[in-house]
Amino acid sequence: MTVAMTMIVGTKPELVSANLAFHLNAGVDYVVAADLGTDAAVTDVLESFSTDVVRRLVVETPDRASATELARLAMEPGAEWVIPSRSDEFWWPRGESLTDVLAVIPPRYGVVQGLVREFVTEGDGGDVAERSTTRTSLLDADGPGGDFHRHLRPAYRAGPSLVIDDSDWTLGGRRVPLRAWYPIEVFHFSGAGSDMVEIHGTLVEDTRLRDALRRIRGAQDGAVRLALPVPSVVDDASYAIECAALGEVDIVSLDRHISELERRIAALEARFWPTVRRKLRRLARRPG
Amino acid sequence: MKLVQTLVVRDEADIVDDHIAYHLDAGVDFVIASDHGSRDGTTEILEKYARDGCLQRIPVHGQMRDGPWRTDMARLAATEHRADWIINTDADEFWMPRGGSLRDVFAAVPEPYGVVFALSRHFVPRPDDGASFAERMTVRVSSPAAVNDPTSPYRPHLKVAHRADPGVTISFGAHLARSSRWRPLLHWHPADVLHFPFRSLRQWENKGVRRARGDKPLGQYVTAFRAREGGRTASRYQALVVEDRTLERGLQEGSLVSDFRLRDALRRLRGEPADAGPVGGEAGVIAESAGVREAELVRLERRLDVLCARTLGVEARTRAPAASR
Repeated sequence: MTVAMTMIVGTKPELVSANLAFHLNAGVDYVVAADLGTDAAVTDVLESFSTDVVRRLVVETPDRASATELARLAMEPGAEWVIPSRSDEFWWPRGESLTDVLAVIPPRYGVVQGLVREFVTEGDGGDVAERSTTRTSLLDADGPGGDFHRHLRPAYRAGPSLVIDDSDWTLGGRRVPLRAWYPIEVFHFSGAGSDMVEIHGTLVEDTRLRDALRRIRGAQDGAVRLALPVPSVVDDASYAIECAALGEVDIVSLDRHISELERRIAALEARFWPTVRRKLRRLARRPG
Repeated sequence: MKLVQTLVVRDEADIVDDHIAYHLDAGVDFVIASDHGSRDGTTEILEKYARDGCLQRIPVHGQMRDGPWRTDMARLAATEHRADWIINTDADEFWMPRGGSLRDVFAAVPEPYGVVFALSRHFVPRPDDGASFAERMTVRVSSPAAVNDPTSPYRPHLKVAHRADPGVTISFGAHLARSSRWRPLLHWHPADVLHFPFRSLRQWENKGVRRARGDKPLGQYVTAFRAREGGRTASRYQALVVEDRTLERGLQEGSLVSDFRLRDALRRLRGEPADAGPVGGEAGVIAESAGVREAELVRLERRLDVLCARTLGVEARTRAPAASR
């Protein structure tokens, strides 16, 4: 199975370098990188990778249209999943690799969501994953988050109808989202300190990315097939509490969903008989 | 009152003898078993019970057809075996009544209720020291929140039992029974189903590879299949095994509990002394029952998503403007 990633590239070369090294060792087969071209050091990083695995595109402004265009470019070589990301995000699979996690998603689902983990940045300079090992956790969160989409980032099953729109991920064609379970965690290094990061719940120590990057750096020529730790049943039970805290699915959302479906079916029904009558009239007017 | 049990089984020789012996002791009068081409000694075990007159073995072949086979057996129980109640089981499940015998709990259900649901309690694999699964696997999941991972073997779910009905239809996995005769009784669970899905490396691998090619390849089976294809079976299975350190953490956090009920029941059957251990009590049942309700809501929402996607297709074909949520 092939996994592609699109990446809106920022201006921190060390972050871009770590990001590509991590994802290419964690199951991503190739990356289409949208480079604003404003930082020569970043461009150098992108060009240091083989064009077989990192394709650099110069863009003026990363907008919605370019997100869809990038995803479609990423699908061209035959990807089955596309992950739209930014260079300050690290998509951490809850399994041995991104390939492993995405390969077992039941075929009826066309969108999976990653749960965003905001890392707090301490100090300045050097490797951000070495400095930043504290992140937000939804354990002990005060009730459902309400605006849960803020905590989620989508990845898509590839296909010709794919449309990416940050404001409404259901527009990924007729893709069905996997709700209430998030098989990937998205580690976000925005550069914000503890006074800037919005905390729902609590802060916890998390060295998983730091340790993985150390392993990659320790390997000869930086190439190592990362076999990431598979969460235990106890880890999953704890993670389930965080997933539930987001409150994506409850009786209220179910009611809203049914109302929406009723409205759409009513609109279809209202259109049905006038259409049939119009077609019958046309048929009746036909000579012979 | 006659209680008949249906069973779909294939290559489960490590557990099926205990399974049948346990249920016959717990109140089951007769077993109907669909034997799906077993080759590991399961057939011989079933035949032994058939010779004793307490089991009918039905050989089945070809592609797995879980729902239709279960439906055929449930109807046969009603028509040929004059059953009053029927429980639908897998070989790795043990129906443990919540008080008295299985007959007692079903006899307590008032008409017109006739479809009831037992709460599945998933036991985790423990390190293999050569002892039988029931001696080793005395720890089960008791997650404070529903694990809604579609690839997890530990998703909360229910198993169905019902009064006899020649027109009954049983779903895949026996989670639902559709009967025009009997009403479902929700929110009360007459029994726990002690579930031992993965018991050893070899059993996990064989079951996964076989079921990944079946009529409904669940993610947990595809995981085993992919592990074998990638030569990673041992390490992937090891990740499922709950070692002592993880056990300690799980017990502390409340996501794992010790449960010796099956171990002790099987010991008693063998005439060995059995010390009753703690089982979690009613509070655990209430919490896990709430987890099942949460999981059912999520399943409904996911089914609605599929309906919405299908509606979107119809809207596109009728040139209706695509509505967004």
